[in-house]
Amino acid sequence: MLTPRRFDNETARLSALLIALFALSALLLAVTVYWIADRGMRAELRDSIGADAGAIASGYRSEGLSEAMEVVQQLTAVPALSGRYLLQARDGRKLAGNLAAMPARSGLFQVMTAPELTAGSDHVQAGAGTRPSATGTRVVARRHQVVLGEGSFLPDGSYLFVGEQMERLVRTRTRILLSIGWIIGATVLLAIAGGVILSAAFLRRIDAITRTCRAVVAGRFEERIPVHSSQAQLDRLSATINEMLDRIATLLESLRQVSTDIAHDLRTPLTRLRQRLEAARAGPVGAHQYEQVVERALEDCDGILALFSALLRISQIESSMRWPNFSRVDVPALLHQTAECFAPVAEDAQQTLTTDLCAPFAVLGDRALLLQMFSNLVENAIRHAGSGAAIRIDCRVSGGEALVRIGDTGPGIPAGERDKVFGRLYRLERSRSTPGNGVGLALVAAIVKLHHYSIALTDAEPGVCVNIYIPLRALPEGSPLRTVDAAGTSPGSTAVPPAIAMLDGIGE
Amino acid sequence: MLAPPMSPIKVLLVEDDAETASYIANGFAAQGIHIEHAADGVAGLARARSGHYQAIILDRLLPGCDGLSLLRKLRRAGTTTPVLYLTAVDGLHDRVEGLEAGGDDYLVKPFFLPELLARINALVRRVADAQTQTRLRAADIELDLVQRQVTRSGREIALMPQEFRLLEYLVRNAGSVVTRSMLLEHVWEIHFDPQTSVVESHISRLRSKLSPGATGEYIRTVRGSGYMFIAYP
Repeated sequence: MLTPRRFDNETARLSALLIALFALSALLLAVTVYWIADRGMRAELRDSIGADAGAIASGYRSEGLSEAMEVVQQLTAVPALSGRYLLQARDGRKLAGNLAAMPARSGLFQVMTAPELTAGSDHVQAGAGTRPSATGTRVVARRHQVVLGEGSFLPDGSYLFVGEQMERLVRTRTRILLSIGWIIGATVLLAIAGGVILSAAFLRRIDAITRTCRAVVAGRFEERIPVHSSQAQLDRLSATINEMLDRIATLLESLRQVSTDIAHDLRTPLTRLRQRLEAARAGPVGAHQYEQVVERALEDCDGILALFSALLRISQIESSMRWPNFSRVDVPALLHQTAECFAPVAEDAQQTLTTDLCAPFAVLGDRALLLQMFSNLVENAIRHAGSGAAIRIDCRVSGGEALVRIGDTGPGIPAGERDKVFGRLYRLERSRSTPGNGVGLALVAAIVKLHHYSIALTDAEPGVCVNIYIPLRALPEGSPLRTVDAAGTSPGSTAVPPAIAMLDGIGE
Repeated sequence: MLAPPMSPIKVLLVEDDAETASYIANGFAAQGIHIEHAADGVAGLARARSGHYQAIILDRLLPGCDGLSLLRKLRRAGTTTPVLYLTAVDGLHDRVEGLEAGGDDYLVKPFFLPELLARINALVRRVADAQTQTRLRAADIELDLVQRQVTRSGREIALMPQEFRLLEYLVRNAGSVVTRSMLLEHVWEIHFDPQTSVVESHISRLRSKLSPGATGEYIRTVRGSGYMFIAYP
């Protein structure tokens, strides 16, 4: 039996793709946030650097170098200060500030200070890579400090550097990076959980479909996939597979029926033929008798062949595809043609054949088969209604449906037998003596079914009337036939292709 | 005029069943028609291309090359010889498919020899006839194919449309047998076996309209085969 493999290749691949997509979008979001935050903080830093540098420079302008030194000292005096300052003379000597002397360089750049020791330590060795001197002073920060600042030269050639510690910026960056990590982690976890839940539900449905298909393969043709009443793809797929299974069942039934019919009903005339030939061999012999026997035998053979091809034709129609041979067929015109064809036959049988047809309209259908259907019905009436009967063909359209009626005033069919007449090889007991092989109406039923029409027998009092209901449906866009909104059509099953177009303008 | 062609008719038969082939060849020989037989599709195609035949009888299921593609090749090569399918292939759409591939007639096995003969005769005659006739004449009957009018010795005879088509088909094949099923197919588009005497009823009406006095009969019943329009009654 089927064991669900929770993560076979297909599902695993899909889930991985989904997770990667989730993670990627989270990453994109995080990078954007990071970038915006970083830019904002840098701008803030630069503003603050600019303000401090401005203050020092304006001190210098108004009262000279000593005033600038004083401003620097005031600025560095603030406790827990994040600003870093350096004012050094032209010869590189440090004049004031909380940074060690360094090579003068103008513009915006970053410097790395040595790990800072106690606050206000003026004699810290500057320069990257230098280890802190073991002076016994308490270490307040172990790490190297990165300072972003701007260097500039004062008019007398002395050098001013104003910077800000980037520690806060770095810390914020770290936090952002950390939260990005969390978000991506959580996303991946959520995606995996979602994937597991979704694919479990999905796999359950797929398993149901597989189970049903396997059951059908194993010969249990009545099995169907459970369909929930939603319009989801899987339900549509299941419904379609069920329809396919219905069709297969119909075909199988038809095949079985044909085999049975051939086995049972061809045996009878073949046996009769054999008996006749045997009797001729045993009985009195004469050229004339032989000729008669041969004549009868040939007739029997023709009858058997006709029955055989009729049975074959019915099963061909029952297993046929609807579309390949379908074209536009004008129903009233076809009925007129049928009536013209059989009117002399009816007349010869002392019957009348009249028509009452509506304006032309067209349906999609197999012209040859529809002609055969109408012909069979008319011939049936001619053969069974008896002399003096009136046969009437009429056709009218109302409410999105056309009704073709072929009625006679003959003896009719008992109510109890009306459903049976469309079965194969059914013949009313009293018509056993009349010619015909009993498959005519079965053929009619097959043609009706192929076209998705419906057929009913009613009592014409006296006589019988065959009613064929032809649904008129609007045709889809792009159809070779003109589309007409057939108002009041029932929506019907979606599996039924539209089968009608009105021929507007033909009746004019 | 409508007399059969004087030179002997040569027909190519492409059929893999030897028994069927000799049955046909013997039957046709009795009627003065010479049959050349090809037992498979390849030989059939080669013969059909080289030889001069008035008609080809073609099976659909052949070893080597099936009848349908054989005919397609033949038609592509420009050969216009009329072709009749003689086949057991009788699905719903097979006839249409066969005629669309370039065939001119379709006869389903098992068949009746006179039926095949009559159809081949009609095919050969159709080619011999001028294609763009507007008037047909046989005996003192004249058909105006444009006006759809029939006159007998100059006097008009009123016919129903189907009676006109029936007469037209008979006159076109005057002097040869046309079978019931040929009439059903050409006049009424009926490709099945009707359970009533459609042809007989129409023929009897046409007969009485053509010769109300029943002096000479134009349409003769050929027992077991069909009907023949007698050009010189």
